Amino acid sequence: MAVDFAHWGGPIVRGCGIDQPSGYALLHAAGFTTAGDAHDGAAFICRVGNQAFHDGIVYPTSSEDPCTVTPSTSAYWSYWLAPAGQNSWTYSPVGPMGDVPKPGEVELWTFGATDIGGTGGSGVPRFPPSTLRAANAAPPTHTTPTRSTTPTRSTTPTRSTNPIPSATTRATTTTTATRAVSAPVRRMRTAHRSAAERRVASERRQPRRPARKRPAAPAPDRRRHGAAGSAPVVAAQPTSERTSSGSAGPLVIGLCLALALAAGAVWTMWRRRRYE
Amino acid sequence: MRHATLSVRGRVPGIHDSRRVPRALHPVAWWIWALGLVIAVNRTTNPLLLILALSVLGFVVANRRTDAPWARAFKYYLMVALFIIAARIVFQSVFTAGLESGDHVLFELPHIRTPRWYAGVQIGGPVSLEATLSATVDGLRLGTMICCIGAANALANPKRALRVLPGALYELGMAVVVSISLAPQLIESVQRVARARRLRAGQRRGFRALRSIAIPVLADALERSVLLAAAMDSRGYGRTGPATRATRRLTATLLLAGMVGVCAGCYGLLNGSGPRLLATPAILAGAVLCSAGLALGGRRVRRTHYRPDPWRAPEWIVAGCGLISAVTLYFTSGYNAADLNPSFSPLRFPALPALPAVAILIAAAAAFAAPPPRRRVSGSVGVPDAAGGRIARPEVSA
Amino acid sequence: MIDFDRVTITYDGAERPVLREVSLHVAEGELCLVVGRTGVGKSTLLGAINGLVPHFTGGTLGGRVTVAGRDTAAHPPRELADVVGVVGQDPLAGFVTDTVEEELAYGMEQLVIAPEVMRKRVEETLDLLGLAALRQRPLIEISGGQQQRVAIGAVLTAHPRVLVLDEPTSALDPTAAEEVLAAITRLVHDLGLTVLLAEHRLERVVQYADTVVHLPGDGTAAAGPPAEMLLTATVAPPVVELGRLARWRPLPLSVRDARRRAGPLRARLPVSPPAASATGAATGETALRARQIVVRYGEVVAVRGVDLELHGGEIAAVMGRNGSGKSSLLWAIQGAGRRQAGAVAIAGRDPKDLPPREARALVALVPQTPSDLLYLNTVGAELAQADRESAASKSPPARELLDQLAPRIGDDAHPRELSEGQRLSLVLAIQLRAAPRVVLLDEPTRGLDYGAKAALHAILQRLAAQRRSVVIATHDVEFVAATCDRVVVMADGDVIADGPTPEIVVASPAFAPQVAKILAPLRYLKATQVADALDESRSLPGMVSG
Repeated sequence: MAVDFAHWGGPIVRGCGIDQPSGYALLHAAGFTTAGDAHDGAAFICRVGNQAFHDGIVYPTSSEDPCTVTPSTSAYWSYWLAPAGQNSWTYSPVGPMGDVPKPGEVELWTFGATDIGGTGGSGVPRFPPSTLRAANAAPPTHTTPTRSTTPTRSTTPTRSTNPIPSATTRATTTTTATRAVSAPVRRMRTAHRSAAERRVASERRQPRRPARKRPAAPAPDRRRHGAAGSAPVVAAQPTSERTSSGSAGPLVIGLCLALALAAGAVWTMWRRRRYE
Repeated sequence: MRHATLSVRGRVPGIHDSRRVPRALHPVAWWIWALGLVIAVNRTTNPLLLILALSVLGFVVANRRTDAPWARAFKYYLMVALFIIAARIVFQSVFTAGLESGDHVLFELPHIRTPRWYAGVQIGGPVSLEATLSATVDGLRLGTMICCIGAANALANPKRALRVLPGALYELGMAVVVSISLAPQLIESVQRVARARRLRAGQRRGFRALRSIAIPVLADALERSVLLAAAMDSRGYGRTGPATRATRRLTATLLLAGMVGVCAGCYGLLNGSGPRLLATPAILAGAVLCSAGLALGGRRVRRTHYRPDPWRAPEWIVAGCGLISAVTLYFTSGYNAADLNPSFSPLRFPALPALPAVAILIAAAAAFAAPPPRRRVSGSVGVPDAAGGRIARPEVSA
Repeated sequence: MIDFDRVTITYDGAERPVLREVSLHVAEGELCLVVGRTGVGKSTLLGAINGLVPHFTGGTLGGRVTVAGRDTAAHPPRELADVVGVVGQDPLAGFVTDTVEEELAYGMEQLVIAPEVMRKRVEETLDLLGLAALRQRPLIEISGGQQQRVAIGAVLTAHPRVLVLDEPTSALDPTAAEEVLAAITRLVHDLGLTVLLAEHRLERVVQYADTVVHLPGDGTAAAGPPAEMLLTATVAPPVVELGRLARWRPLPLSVRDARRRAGPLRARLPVSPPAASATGAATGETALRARQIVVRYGEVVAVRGVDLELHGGEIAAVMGRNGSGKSSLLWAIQGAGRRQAGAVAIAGRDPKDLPPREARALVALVPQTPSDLLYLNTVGAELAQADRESAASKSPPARELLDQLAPRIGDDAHPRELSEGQRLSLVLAIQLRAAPRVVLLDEPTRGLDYGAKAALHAILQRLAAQRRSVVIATHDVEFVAATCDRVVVMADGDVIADGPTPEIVVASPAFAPQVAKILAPLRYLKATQVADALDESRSLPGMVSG
């Protein structure tokens, strides 16, 4: 799956996952942080961010969209699917919580003004899924860190060459797929990737200014172009650790205040009953 | 005895002060206060702020409600709020949208697969703590808003509130007042007829039973309403001033156009996709047209007010408290707006933003600012006897 | 003040006009009483005064009605509100607001009267009608008499010149009725109001009237001084009946006037009336035995441990003021109402323990609002339903019963369009279809005129002849004196007196019927007894008639 930060001048950050129960889980498994909006909860993705772009700041920022109500159709994250074998994007009929990613499927998040039917607007992806689809036919033995996850592969019964790990090898627990964030990343390879890319697969990637709208290849060993006009594709970085769960202090203070008021109310009612 | 006990040490100063003259606060002041709280509560899903708002409501209602029967209805609103919370939790548990990593699972419901065309709705499945808490807080917010309205109903006599409607809406208000008055009679009628059914061996269940209760009750209600209409007509209700057909048509057109403008403007404001430019002018234009229509229509309805409620300093203070809460929570400046909507996954303790909390607590000041309510004269509160008459209690006065 | 000039009123869809060529003049400051049977057009006549007929009720008005110089054809009721005030039978149905004070002010608000003037008038009206202590009380919590006075006050604050009252005391007990009538007469005498009053229970009001308008039933109306009009009126209170019998001229209208003239009559009559034909009272067989009935509504005890025993063929009356527990007692006996303690035995069984179908066969109750039991569209459907409900009983079909009680009620009449008396008969027929042994009636005489009461009297006599026991809860002393063998007086949930009618009703001045008051210390209760005694004395040789 991939997230297109082109709206803020960022690259397409790409990640993947195995046997994720939903598109939402896939997004998180690939290392993205999301935030929902206050009205609809976490299920309606209002902000997305990744360490690979601006150190994980979630976009759109609070100043752009306060995310209290459902974002308007002029600026929201739209969700596109391209099942295995399909080279065009389908506007997903269900949300990320309801969609179950199939093996070989590519999912894309773009930001813009897509209309309801997914037919037009600035959010419609302008590049085909093939530019993002993992086409790596090589076995995952190239990079040692992936050895622990070697058995987990997902098949891709499509024409495009791709070494997307097969899903048949479910022998290993899926937890490795979900928790070992970097492992799937490393395994997403395309045959066209330069060796240099493979080398730095396990390192943190530096976000670079995208060479937009330039059909020519960018700096040779760092980026990978999609179709004409698209931003460069960058691999997703794992998220930082879970933030702390906050302190219980305000909770206690708030409850004490509420109890004080309630006690006042009860006392008044008791007085009333006594003197009536 | 009463005054001696009022000077007991430790009483809250100002609330039960015997020096203040009891009177009823202007109902519009209470409604502005309650609506301000509604707007404030609508902006937040922070459970601490919501619970604070609920306790403020309870405090003010307990201190400033009158003894009239309608003033005791606040607890029913609390029950409705509880029901809403429970319903939300049940719906969330059954139609869960899916589990996230890191959620604490409480229990699992049997999962029913939905076909692809119905996908997006998942029936059953694991129920997580985060989802339950999120549903609870959502229900709590709706429940609190309903309790705000309930508090306004308990504090302000609804009939007196309807009296302050502008002249053009007077008849509408009158209809509502009459239906409020007739409601207890309708209930009494239903009880009487339900009891009489036993006399006729009418133990049918279901639809037939409904008919044998509904028909007498409705016929009774119809007769009473005809009598009421005749009585009101005889007492002069509905005397119109010099209003020609043309004026009435113009009034109706203005009101309709104004309403359409306001609706369109609201829609434009709330829906971001439409052209925003049109939203505010539409609302303004609509409001102007509505006011013109009301003013024109009010000219023909002439009536005076008997002992109108005055609008004095306490009214300003009470209305102001509500507005302060609304404004503070609406314009999220001076505090972190994200605190108003704490996240549930990952689960963390909610923060208590200082400024909104203070704003909600200020609303509790209405209990001090408003004058104490008038106590009813102690006398018989009649208990209905078998015939629907009243049996006076032994200590009847007059 | 009020002029009817050849007024003819026809309702929509009616073949005959209700009022035909009625010409009347009511002078200012008069108390005018409108008398006539049910359905002759009293309400129509009164409604025409403030324009309700035809503006509100529909219909055609021929002729002219002029009130204080204004023509009602040109002025709908709301424009006559400052001249005519109307008070109906059910005050609660006419109340718009919550409390007494607001109700008094409501009419003035509609008439655009200045607030200071409103306050003054409200205070004056509170004093005038003795309502000052009730000013903040909710309207549903005050008693019936107080409610009626509030209703009068509410129309009085508009300072009308004419007050129209359509059966104001029919729903009240005697004490409350006296309060209201005293208030009305004070208004007439102190304020000089013109008052028109329609009433069934003439015995309370006829002495105060200056004019009587009599509607005989053919659509005409005749007006004149009471003493003249009542000589030949179709309805007459007992004092007038006695006056007619004894040929007193001019006719006395009040107990006091009659008593002054009654000396010679008292001398002529035997001390006790001729023994009435036994209605089978106290023939030994106990039909109903109730022991220690207790009924409570929350904290309030409505009936405190009452015992009641009835024999077959006995007609008993339960009397007492509103709230003394009469209705509660009857409902508790039937079993459909609450009964916290006590036992009832009818033919050895307690109706409370039985399902309603079987309880009905033991004891039937006709409630205070009989129409609570009617829910079908036509009389025929109701009777058929009654037949189905009581198929097991051995009584004749409901249609026959109804024809015995109230003839000429068609099968396709709508139950709501029947008169009060006819509706009562219909419900009674439905309840009698179950052939109960005990029949209970809760306030059956409310809203009935003398003719209907006579019919009810005949019905009850027939029931008693069939060895059924009958219990009536009522205020109507005249009816009790005429019909019942036994009276049980209740107050505050207890039975304070229980005995044969002549003893009980004569013992207390408040409860005594007019004839008893006039002829005291002779023990006559009704005019028919006097008539019988006079006939007997006439038939005996040597007695001087005259």
